[in-house]
Amino acid sequence: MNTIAKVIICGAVLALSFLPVLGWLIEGSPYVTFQGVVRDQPVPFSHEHHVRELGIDCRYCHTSVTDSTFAGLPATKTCMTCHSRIWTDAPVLQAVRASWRDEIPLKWTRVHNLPDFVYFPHDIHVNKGVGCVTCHGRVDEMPLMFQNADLRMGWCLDCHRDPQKYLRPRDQVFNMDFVIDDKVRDEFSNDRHPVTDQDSLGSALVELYHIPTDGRITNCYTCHR
Amino acid sequence: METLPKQLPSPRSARYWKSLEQYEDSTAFRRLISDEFAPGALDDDAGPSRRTFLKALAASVAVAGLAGCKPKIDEQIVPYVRQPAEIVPGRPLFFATTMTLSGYAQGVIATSREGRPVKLEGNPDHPANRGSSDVFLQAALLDMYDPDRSQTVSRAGIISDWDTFIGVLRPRLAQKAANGSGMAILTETITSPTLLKQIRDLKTKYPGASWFVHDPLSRRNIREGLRSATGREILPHYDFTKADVIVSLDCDFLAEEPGHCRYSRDFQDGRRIRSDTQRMNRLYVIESTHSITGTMADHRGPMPPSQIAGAAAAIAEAIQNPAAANGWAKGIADDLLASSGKGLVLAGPSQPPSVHAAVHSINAALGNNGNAVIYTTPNEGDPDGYLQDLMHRMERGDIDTLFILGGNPSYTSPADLQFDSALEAFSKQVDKNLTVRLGIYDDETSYKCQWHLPQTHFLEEWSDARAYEGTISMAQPLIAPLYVGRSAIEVMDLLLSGYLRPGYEIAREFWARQHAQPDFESIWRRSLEKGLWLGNFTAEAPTRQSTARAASATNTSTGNFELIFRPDPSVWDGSYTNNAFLQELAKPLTKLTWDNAALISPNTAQNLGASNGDMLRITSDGRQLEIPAWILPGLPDDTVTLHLGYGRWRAGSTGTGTGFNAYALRTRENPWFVTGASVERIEGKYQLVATHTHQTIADRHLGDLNDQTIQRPGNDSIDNRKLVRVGTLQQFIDDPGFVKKLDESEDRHHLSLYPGYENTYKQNLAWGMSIDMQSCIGCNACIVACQTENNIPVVGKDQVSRGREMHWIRIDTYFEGSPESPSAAFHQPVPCQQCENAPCELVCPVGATVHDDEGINNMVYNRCVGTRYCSNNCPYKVRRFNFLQYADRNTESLKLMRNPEVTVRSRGVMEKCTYCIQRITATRIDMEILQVRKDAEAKAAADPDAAASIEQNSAQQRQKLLDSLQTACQQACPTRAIIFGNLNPAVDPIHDYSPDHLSEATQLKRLPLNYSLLAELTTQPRTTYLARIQNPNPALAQEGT
Repeated sequence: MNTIAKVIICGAVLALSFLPVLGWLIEGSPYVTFQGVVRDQPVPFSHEHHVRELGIDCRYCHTSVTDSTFAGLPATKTCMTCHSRIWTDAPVLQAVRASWRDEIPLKWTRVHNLPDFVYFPHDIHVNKGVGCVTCHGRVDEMPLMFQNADLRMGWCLDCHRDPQKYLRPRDQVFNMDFVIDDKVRDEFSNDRHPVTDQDSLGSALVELYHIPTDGRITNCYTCHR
Repeated sequence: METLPKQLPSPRSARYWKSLEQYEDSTAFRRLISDEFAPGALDDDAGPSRRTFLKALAASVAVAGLAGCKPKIDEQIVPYVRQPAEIVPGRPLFFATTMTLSGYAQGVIATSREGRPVKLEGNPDHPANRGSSDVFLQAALLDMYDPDRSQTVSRAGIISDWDTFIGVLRPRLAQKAANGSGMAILTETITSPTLLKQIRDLKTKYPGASWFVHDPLSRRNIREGLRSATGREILPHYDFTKADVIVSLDCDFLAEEPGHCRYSRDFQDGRRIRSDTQRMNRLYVIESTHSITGTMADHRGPMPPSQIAGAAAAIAEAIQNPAAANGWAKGIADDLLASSGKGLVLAGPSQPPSVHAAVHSINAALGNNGNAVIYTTPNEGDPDGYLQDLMHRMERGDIDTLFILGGNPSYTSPADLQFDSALEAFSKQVDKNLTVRLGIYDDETSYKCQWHLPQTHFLEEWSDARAYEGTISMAQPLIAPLYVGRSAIEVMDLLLSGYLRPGYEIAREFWARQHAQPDFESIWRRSLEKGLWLGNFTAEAPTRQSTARAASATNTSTGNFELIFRPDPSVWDGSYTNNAFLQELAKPLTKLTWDNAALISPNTAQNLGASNGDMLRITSDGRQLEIPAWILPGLPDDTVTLHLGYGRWRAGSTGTGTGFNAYALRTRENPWFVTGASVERIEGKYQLVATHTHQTIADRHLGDLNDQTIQRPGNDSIDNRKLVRVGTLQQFIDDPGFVKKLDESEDRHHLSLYPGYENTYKQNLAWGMSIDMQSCIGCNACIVACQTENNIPVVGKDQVSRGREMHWIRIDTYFEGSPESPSAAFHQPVPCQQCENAPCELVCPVGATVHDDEGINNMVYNRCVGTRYCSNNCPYKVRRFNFLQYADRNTESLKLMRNPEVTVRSRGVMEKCTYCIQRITATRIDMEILQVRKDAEAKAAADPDAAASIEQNSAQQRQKLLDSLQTACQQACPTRAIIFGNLNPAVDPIHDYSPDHLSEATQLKRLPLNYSLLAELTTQPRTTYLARIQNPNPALAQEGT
């Protein structure tokens, strides 16, 4: 009797103390963050097919990614540049043709949805050498689009605190298979900083691209306003 | 005129006070300001008790916890089908257009985001406002998105459509074409060339048709006065840059004249104090009420309106015969004579024609005409008659078809005309008469007409208008009409052609005829881009008008009060009554919100035994108005100032039922002031809500207010002399550093426990602001600009009464001297001071307010848990707490209005001025992108010279971006009183430390007039102030008149 009570009481205390942990785990799980969850879309668009197999550049569709906070989604007209000629009667493209015919836009489901108090500008990241892959993952290996990272604040800060861990040359931003090869090493090495790995390349780029290392980009107003 | 201020003694002994309560300095007032929140601010809203609330809270938290487990709602992204070439999603576009106030144009640059206008600014190329704004321009955006706007055609209150209306209209037009007469159009003042041409065409097509004008703020007095003086049809406008001595006779040229934004800028340009300034202009104001122009005066004389004609005559006589003159008239006349040709005398439209004739001859005698005073042919069209002529013909049965385009004559017509009931009777004769109203709202006038047609807002239509000095401004739509509205131009075209045509065709057709040249297309495009017509235009000559008007007052009552009618500083003549931004705006000087009141002087209040909010009964000419009293220092005794625009009965959900209808006492003979009115105090009290006691910066060392043993140093305990620093030009010339000497604690600025630490925020861009109290005219434009830029909610009258208004910037107005005859008033805009040693940051338990490396005190909404400690610890009282869910998240049209770059705050978070961080961030990002792109170009350049030139070019472009960064308040300010910028020249893209390259804010902060508020607290604010410098006439000061 006594033992049962003790077990129950201790168990209850233990269980209660696990509640915050449980909450933390749920908060970080794909159930809340949607990391890795494929979202329903009006058209089962395959980045794998278009990017890897056909070799279409990111900017062909996401036209404003270098110039605006918003990367931009292709207008129906962009789809129809090809699909008025090829796969013209494919059933999966029915929605695209209907949109074109009726002049009614497609309604895509946002995959990377940040809270309303977070302001993420694409242009500055892309212009300062943050590759598409760094945040969005290997889009060219995704038959259907999903969110690669958990998009929690800690994940953002990981790079904002140590940007050199992730930077790449500006001309490699849209490259899905970027690796540090001899060409890159030669180009960005100097007498003081030989480029060998990501860290040394990143350090060279931080300097070259005027990226603040004094913590300025972790100021609250950098992203929240 | 005994109340012209004496020379201000130095060192100044007078106190400054924001409210009569502060002047009296009672223990109750001290308690009020020693508490962070006004009484009632922390109470629940007549709802459940605190205990019930907590219970509900506990339950809702439990439920919310469960709700939190629900997956996120999918958000949709909707791309274009065909994306327009000029649109980059996420980047705003800017279009020039035109707004009118009482018919006169102001240039507008509208910011459009994904097809929605989200912000209006002045058009820098437009001569009427030179890029600045007034409150109406800033608040017009809310009018467009107002959910109360009329959304459909209606007939006798029943929903109808345009086709049905046209079906009724066409037979009527056909009948008119056959027998002519009986058609009438009633409008407000019109300056639009297109619309005026259409009216002429209509009269050609239907020879019997007539055009009538009713404008409650008509400028006919000026025109009649000048006609009698010169025999010509002319109107004046002014060039303040050419005026060294300005005498205003009841003319509120900083707020009410058609060119007021431009006038404010030019007037203040003549008063700016820089290190080497030796002279500035001088302003005398003789006025019947207390206007913001009066607060700028170097000498101000309050005077009942009927005596201003006498003052004008005295000045004229003193100019004619200086030897015989004495007193103030001599002082003014001597001053004017000394700067002949560089003076300016002007009178307001409320003064009778005789005063304007007198002013014309004074200016002529002094040679001011053609310099500071410019006479031009009127820009407004000349109608066939006015409202009384129309009514006369309606009564005779001469008219059977009446079109009312815009305006709101049922509400704004003089009480003795009884137009409202006449219109009702006229409309009731359904078989004979047709009455049609085109209006943005289904308001008082529409209610009395048979047909109501919804009108487009100016942001939805093609149009044009002329500015105060004649510039033709072009208006283009920013958005397709939200509802089925049509513009006045389209409806006039319907009357002419019988068909509905797009406004674009009509406007373009008109201008193509004006400029029938091969280059029309390019002129048209450039004109729309600029917002100004750049092609040829031939104006019609003005027609001579009848002067058939009753010459003088025939008031049968025998009271000894004079009543003064003025447009309300916030809701104007009633056009903006339904605009919540303007309703909640604390009016200049009175700081009243949501209501108007009978403004009386302290002496008059004493005589009547009335205090603020006590009901008065005003009787004039047999008509009565019951209205609460409000005491405003600086008014002439035995006068009552009544602001128009309130007491509407069909304004909409916001405006209906606010305030009291002053039109009820207005007559056609005397629309601007009446004598012989009587005023008595009656039973009853009305809750007037003013913000003058809110957020009073208090002395921090009062001790326990209940402890009577504490010795307090008398009235000077709240030493506003440190807050408001004022001097005279002579004082400044004698000792430019006198401002600093007013407060020796400024030296403590440099004290630090951690030497070196004070430079923490000075390594990077360092944002700062300089606010010039010399230039601030207290017009409130900055407050509304901030409100639209930063999605600041409106809270309503009840919430304002609890001190919960949300404005991030407020204007504190301090009076000087005694309440009976205050010698001056000073405006001090107070946004967050962005202290380097911010007291708020130290007390936040969750780190929701912290500094960033550019010296801005960041407020992080998502961290804030609403303890309000920060607000309690803020000595400047600039933080605002969302006590309730103020932001409207339900009304669809209001969602379109919001600035997508700023979070819409929810209940329970603190907020405050961010220096428009969204604009800073956008500029910073643009600068950095430009830099890396140019670096890449330079690297790829062929030779070092080319690379160097690219680098230099890049630096220049970045510097330009940095220099063009403005906060919303700065951009709106008509007088450039607010200047924001980078204070750290070392990080300027072009940094050579030469004075020319320093940011304007840096330069201003180096002036000897610079001071900070509460410097003794060593908060080291980034926002600092420039002292106010007055320029009293030594001759008048010595005589003490």
